[in-house]
Amino acid sequence: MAYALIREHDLGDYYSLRERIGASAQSAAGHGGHYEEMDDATFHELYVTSNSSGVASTEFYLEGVHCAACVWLIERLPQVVPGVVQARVHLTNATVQLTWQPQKIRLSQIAQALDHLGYPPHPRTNDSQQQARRRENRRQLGRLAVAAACAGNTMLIAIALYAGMFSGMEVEHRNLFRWASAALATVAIVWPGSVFFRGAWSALRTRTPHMDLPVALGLGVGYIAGVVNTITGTGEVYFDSLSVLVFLLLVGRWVQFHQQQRAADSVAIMHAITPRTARRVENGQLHDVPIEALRAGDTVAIRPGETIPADGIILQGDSTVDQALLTGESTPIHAAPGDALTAGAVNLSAPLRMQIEAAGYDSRIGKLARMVEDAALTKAPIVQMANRVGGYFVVVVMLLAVGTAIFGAKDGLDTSLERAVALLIVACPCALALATPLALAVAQGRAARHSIVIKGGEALERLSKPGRIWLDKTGTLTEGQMNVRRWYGPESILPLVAALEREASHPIAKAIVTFAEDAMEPPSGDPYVIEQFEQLQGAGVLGHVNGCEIVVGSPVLLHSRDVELAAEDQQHLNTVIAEGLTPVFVSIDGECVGLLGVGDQVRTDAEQAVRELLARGWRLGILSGDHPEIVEHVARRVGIADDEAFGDVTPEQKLAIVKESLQQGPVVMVGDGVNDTAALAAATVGVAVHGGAEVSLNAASVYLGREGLTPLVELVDGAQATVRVIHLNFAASLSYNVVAVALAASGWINPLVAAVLMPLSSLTVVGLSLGSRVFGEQQ
Amino acid sequence: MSVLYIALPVALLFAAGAVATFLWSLNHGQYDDLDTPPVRMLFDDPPKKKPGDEEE
Repeated sequence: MAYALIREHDLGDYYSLRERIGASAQSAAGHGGHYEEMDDATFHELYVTSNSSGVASTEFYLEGVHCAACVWLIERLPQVVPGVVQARVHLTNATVQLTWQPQKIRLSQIAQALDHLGYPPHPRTNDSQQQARRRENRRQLGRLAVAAACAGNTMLIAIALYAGMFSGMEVEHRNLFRWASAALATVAIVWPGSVFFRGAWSALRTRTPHMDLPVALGLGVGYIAGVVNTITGTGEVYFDSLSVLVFLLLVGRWVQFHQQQRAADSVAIMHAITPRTARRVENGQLHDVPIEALRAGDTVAIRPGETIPADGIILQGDSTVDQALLTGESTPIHAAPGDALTAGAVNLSAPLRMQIEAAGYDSRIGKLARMVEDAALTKAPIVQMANRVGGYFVVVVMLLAVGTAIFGAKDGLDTSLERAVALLIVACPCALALATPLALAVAQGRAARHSIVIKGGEALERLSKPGRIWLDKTGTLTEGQMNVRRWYGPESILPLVAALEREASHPIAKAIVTFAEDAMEPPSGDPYVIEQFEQLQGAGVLGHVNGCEIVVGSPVLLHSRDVELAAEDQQHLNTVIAEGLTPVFVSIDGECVGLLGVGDQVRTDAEQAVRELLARGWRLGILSGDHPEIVEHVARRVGIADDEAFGDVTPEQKLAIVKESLQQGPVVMVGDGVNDTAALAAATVGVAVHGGAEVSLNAASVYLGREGLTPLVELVDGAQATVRVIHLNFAASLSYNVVAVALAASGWINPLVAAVLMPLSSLTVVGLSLGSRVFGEQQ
Repeated sequence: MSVLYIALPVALLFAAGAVATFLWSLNHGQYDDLDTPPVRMLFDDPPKKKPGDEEE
């Protein structure tokens, strides 16, 4: 559908663009919804603003926006959908600002178009988080601008002062320049620089080591000494160094802020999983109502293919339900009256009526969404390496300064104090504060080019040392799709089986049809005549094809049809079960003729990736909602120890296991499903894999945009390399500081030397970060 | 009286004006999205509509 739309409007460039940018080809499959509720008056009241010239505008949150090509495609919307005036995408927030002419097109039509393109839209409801982020961004950029202006101008003035130092200058002019730079430095310290003093104060109060402490010390002492010297007209002033320091430090801080991840948002998660509308039964008639209107006790009708809107009990109908989203179980389950259903599961084969027991945040998925949010919020922040170093740094620098003041006292008290002040300024760890954010930012950028999206730079720091990795099975270690893996029997009967299975709507049936179509010749001759077709829920299908009675189904079904199994068949059955596959027998006219083993294919690179991770010292385990036998089999296939592979694990248990292992050290959770989401958010690092549910992307701090597990190995290697670069940066900037401190303590320093040394150390750090080969060797 | 006493404040006033302009544009949302514009400018313009074309 999306492809047709793209071709039709000559947007074929989209694919070439995607290839050029190296984005992963996501499955551009929309939800296929109708979005009629968006034409409702109440909806417009809530989300749409109209202006006098007859255009309306609204903001949507879009699923699946991950790359530049998405921006391009969505912003071409006015060309594709007449009546749309403008579409502006915000890549970071995955939102689009839409402007359209209501008299020409309905909002639901625009929403449908977006859906067809593969970006199901959701109205933006809870905006407070986004606004807080925007305010913070503006505040930081404002500070940065003021600091830059002050730094630039004090530097210009300082050049005049240095020139005067060498060629002589009237005292009157010298004092004018000193007062002017004092004024600029005051602005820099009081306005943008105040963050460091606040940070230092809170570090002191909470007794946590923090980089702000040495910074505030250097700034404070330097500024006071400078002002005193300006008033008395004697000694040195370091205003240029101080304001440059404030500016560079703020650059580092902003880089860090900019790479921080979006927090998991329970509202977004609910939106992504549950449908937007449900069909409520009122006095025997069906009414479309928004999902928020559902209450416990309501009865809803669910068509095949629809997502179940709330938790409830089936009243009517006999169907199969895919709960893979919630439980990770790969085989759909049979659902009959009296069975309980959970919101987010998909009704597969027949219409159902359900009485609601819990809706919205009371439903299981709602509670899970809350758990995700809580898990993300309560995660203990790691003390960054720079801040750990900062704690020792401040002690060492203080001792050195006091030492300089005492030992220099023989040259006169004035000189020794002057030296101590100079030492505190030049020891100010500017490059040190830049080292981590810069290295992380560079690594993030490089990783993104390899389709590994790292939302929080901290994730890299945490991934650098081996710990524990919990892997999800369905969709992570396996491909997440049913396939025929074993076939015992003559190929000639496959067309018959396929003809029969084409009538059924079960995923296993689809897998068999695909397999048969791949294996057999294109159909020739007469089409098959199918009579008396019957689908038995949870058992199989039977019917007459061209007069032969064919049964395709479970061993139980065959047994109930009095089909005898030969010894050979029994042996094949055992093999299939031992491999963790679902057995499907084929019998023709009461005689068993073949056996299919259907299962989920283990990813081709899984075994090698597991081996490489084990070799790097990681402990690997599996947490899956699937049957323990299947999990055990997959574990054996990829080389994970049996006692580290757990099956039948609920989402809540996954969270509990992750929390438990957190007490022994860092935990990496790798998963793709909604059932992994809470665990992803709680883990030290959550890694969402390609093709995963949108919600898992929200909760995880890393997203692997390529198929398979190889990117996980690259990620771990990249993290290690990044931390090496950080260490190198630390070494470089610390050695600058050591040199500067030594010069200051021995009285060899003056403002000019300080002004040259400091930016030089920062430049070294920038150079080292950019020149590193993090995430560079692969591909 | 040196010309510096006039030149220096004037220079600083210019700088203050530049900062004020930046802060103004900042508070009017021009820097809220720093990720999309650098990507957006790489896209080619859509082909011009031919004069005879119906409005899409």
